[in-house]
Amino acid sequence: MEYENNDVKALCKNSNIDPINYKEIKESETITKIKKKWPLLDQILLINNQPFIQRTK
Amino acid sequence: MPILCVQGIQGSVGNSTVVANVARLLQELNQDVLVFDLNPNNLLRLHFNMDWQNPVGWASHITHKKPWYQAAFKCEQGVQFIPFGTLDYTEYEHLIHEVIYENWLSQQLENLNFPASKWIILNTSNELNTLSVQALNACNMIIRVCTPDLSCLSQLVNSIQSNYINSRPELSDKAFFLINKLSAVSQLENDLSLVFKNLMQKKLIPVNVHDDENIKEAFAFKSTVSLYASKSAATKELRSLAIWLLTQFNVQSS
Amino acid sequence: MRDSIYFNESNDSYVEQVVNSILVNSNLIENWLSFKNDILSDKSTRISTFIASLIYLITFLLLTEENRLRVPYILKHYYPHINFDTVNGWDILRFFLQSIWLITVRTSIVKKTIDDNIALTVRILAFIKAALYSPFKKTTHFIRLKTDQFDKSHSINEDNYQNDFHPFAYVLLIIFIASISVTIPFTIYAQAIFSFLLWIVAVLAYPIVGQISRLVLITLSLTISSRYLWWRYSETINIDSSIDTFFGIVLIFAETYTWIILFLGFFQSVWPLERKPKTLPENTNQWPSVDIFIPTYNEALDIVKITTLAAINIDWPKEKLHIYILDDGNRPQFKEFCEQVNVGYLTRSDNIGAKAGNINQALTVTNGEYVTIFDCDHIPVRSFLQVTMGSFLAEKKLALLQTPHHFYSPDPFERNLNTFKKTPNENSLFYGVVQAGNDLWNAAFFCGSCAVLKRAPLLEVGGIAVETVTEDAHTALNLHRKGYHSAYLNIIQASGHATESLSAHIGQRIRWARGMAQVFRIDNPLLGPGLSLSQRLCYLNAMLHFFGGVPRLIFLLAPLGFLVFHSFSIYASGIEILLYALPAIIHSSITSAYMQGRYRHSFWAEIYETVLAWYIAYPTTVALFNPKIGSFNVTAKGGLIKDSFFDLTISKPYLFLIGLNLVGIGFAIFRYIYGPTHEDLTVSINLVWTLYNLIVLGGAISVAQESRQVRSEHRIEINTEVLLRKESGHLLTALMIDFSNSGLGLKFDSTAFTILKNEKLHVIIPRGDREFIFPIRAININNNSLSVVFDNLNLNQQLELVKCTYSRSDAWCSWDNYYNIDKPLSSLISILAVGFHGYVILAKKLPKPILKPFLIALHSKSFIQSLLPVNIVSHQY
Repeated sequence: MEYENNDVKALCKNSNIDPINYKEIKESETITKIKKKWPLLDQILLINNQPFIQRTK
Repeated sequence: MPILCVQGIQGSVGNSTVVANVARLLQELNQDVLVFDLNPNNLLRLHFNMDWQNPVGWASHITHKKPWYQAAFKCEQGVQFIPFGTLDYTEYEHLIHEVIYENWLSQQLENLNFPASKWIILNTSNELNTLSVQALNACNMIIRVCTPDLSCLSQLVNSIQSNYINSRPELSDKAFFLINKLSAVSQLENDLSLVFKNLMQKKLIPVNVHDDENIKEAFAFKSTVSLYASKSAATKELRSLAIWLLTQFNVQSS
Repeated sequence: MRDSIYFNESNDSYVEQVVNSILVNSNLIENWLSFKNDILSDKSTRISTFIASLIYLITFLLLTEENRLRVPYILKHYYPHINFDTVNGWDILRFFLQSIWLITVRTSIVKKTIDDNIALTVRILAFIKAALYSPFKKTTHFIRLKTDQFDKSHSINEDNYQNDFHPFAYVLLIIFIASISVTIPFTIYAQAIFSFLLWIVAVLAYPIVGQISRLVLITLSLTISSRYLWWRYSETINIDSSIDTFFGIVLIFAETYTWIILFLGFFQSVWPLERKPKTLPENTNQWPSVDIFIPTYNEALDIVKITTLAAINIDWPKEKLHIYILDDGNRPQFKEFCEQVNVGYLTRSDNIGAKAGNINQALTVTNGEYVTIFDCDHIPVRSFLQVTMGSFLAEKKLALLQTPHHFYSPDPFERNLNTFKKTPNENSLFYGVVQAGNDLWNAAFFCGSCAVLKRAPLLEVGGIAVETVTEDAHTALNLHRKGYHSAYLNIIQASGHATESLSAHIGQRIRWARGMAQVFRIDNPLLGPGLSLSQRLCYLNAMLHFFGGVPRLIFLLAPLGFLVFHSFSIYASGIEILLYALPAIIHSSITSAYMQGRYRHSFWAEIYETVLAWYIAYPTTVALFNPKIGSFNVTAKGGLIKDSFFDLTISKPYLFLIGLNLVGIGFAIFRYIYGPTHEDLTVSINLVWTLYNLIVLGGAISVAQESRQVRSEHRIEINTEVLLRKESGHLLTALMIDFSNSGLGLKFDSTAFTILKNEKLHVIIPRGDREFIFPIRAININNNSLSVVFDNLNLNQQLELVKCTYSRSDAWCSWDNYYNIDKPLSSLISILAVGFHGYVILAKKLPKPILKPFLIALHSKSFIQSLLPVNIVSHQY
């Protein structure tokens, strides 16, 4: 999953370094947590997640 | 000629409100805008201060054998709009099945001979019928309006409308999603907006329109929010949306 | 469109235009009123109104209406020191001086903003200026081209540098050449010409950025100061009388120390390594596991909490990141907090070895491959590990990676001298230049916090060193002795709270000084196994630096040797002293200014070091003779200085030194009048030296005037668009301009929305793709400014707040931009001002009758100052 890492980009630009390949880990964990929290959401995403993403990409 | 088709994932997601406000803000950015209400609920006109009792609209003109384009109005601020008009059930059935032939909409738009800089925004019903399907095909960009709730997500993932669009690459390629009425205080809606972003990725318009009381009040005043509360968050967000549209169509705001 | 006629649009003659516009333009009076309102308040004097009306008439005749409307703002902007409400005769002088200054000095600002006609004059002046400089420009440009080529082909980074310093091959040759140029005796004229030529080269090399000029400047400075020292040793020691010998030896000891520090300093930062972060593997499974230690002893939970929440926000795979609070205070509410946020809580039965012991204990019960240490008030950003850890995977021998210590609040120097975010602080030289310089020699030190250590090597050297009170530097030394590498990454990835009071600050420095002296005794870096020569020299410099107290005190008192005791501690004529000493001083300032760039401004070090000198002189000397004496003291942080006060206890030694120097001045005057004429030059030199000492000591006094802190929590500047949600459901946009743990400062459009005091609101803060909402309460509304406090945030909201603020990886990265490149002369002027201010503070403490003449002098000084041109913010109107 891609997240906006604007702060990291700004850091690299300001510190005069090449953009680093930053991995947003906390937010990915958040998605998992959110899914667990709401059962209907978990169900909808479980069934249709993959094909939906492929279609919209 | 940028032709937008704005369609809700389901009813009452604030479709007409988005159309009216975006049209108004595009016009504030010096664009020439025509909004075309294809939604039989005939609500769009109210944002432009048209009398609630006034039954005139393109559909009623057709029913009464008048040229439909004579139903065009211009609001005080300069946005041109064509209301749907008031119809009864038989008139509507007749219109849909007898009058609107294949490619009717695209042919009509072509016949109008507008300059290339003209924006046309089609306010489209969420139900699939001849009109909405023609609108989806005739436009160069579909904006699918959703609210961050589970019924919308459900419709988004699996519904007649979604399946129709998703199974046709020529439609799904030009479709973008807009999150509307995001309630800041709701935990569930905040969670879901993250899920929506996760699902839609680059297809999501990077502007959230929050659930701002100013929008509702602007409608109660039969106006658009940029007139009613120009400093509100809603105005700013919808303006960002308008600017995003300009960049998508490579239009310089003058 | 206004109804007026624009001159440039009309074809009439100029006079006709004017007449027409007066006739046609019925707004003449109305425009005057608006003009008057813009420039004057309702409290203006009659003379002011009259002058304003004159200005208006002039502008009316000369400018278009559009430009005329801007005139009041332009006047107020460019002449900020003139109060147009109460204009008097002096203001005309002020106006005149400021105009000249603006047109001649601040051409760049004026050029952009003022009308074309004036801009033309400006351009002519700028052309003359350029013409004067161009002979030099051509030369420097040529050299710059050449050095750029060299720099490109010789750029050093951690990938291509070779850390093999072959002393004997090169050094013998260099020593041979250098010894000739250092030891050859010159006549006075030869010395004068030699110094002048070297100075010319230095001035030419100074504006060129690059490694070559750095080396050239270093060489020149070393040559000239070595010449000075050689001359001092070979020709100026007087052994005729015992008092002369005594003063001579004491002074030459201090000078030798300074020369060694100069040499080591140049060596250390000869070529700072600009290390870059290394990319981590794509697959997070290959990322190593990391333990984060947050040692605490007596700090408040509120402080530790923020650091812990920020550590939780660090982007690193959950199963590979373990956070531990190491609580030496054994406090139940810490334990409770750790359970709530699911981080480890470690305690121990004793407190032996303080912080080092605390960490060592934690090492026995944890098992991550790497250990990251944050002092409990150093708040890391979320990218900390992803920026730092790649270096370890790329370099197997790497055992330590240090990042800068950064402080978001002013340290006592910055607060009391009002230099926060204007002048680089004491820290920035070390983290900006010295550590990067060390890194070239594989000698970057561990600084106790904001660093990553590899566990296996750390255990191999027995954990964090406990023998000395500077456990950090000592641990790094141990690692280096075992052949491990260290690295320094000059990217701010954490920020902390600076020490609050001067006494606490000095206390901390005393501990460092004592600790370094202890390491010097117990584990001398010059001796013992495992270190390269360059590492030994870097460590030596770090340690010797803290022995600077005694030499500094010697310099502060040295002129008294001659002035009071009439001892010729330098046995030479005044002109000789000038010709040898001045070039050495000038060259070392030029070179230091060049090397320190924007990380330290010239002369400020004098104040930092003078303040510390007295306090570190004793403990370092004691520790040198008996390293076991001395206990560990924790630096108190987060305290609040409620009222400004003068720290008399701290400044006593400086008052004493000032007293002695004042006596010296008395003697100087006496000797000048009654002494033999051939001594006049020597007297003057010593007098200037004494005056300089007095200025620096005045600076020390200024620092001791502790200014009041307005808030207990420092508000940190930020600039983010946020949304405010009123209880009614209305949303409005606002700008978040600062934040603290307890509240925010916002700007909003008060014409469109009313917010009442104590009104409950929500603020929606975006971060990346997400937005977070926090309940707030308005506490202060002033026009468009709004201060709010958070309304009982729960733990999760606090975590999210940290995410939106402290955890942003770019939170601190623009801070360097506040500092400009060093300008030695303007630095000297600010030091003068600071020193003078110290005496103002002292004068105010005097009894009234004595005070009066001082006050008159002070008034006249501030009056004269008010006439001088003032700087303006470059902002366009």
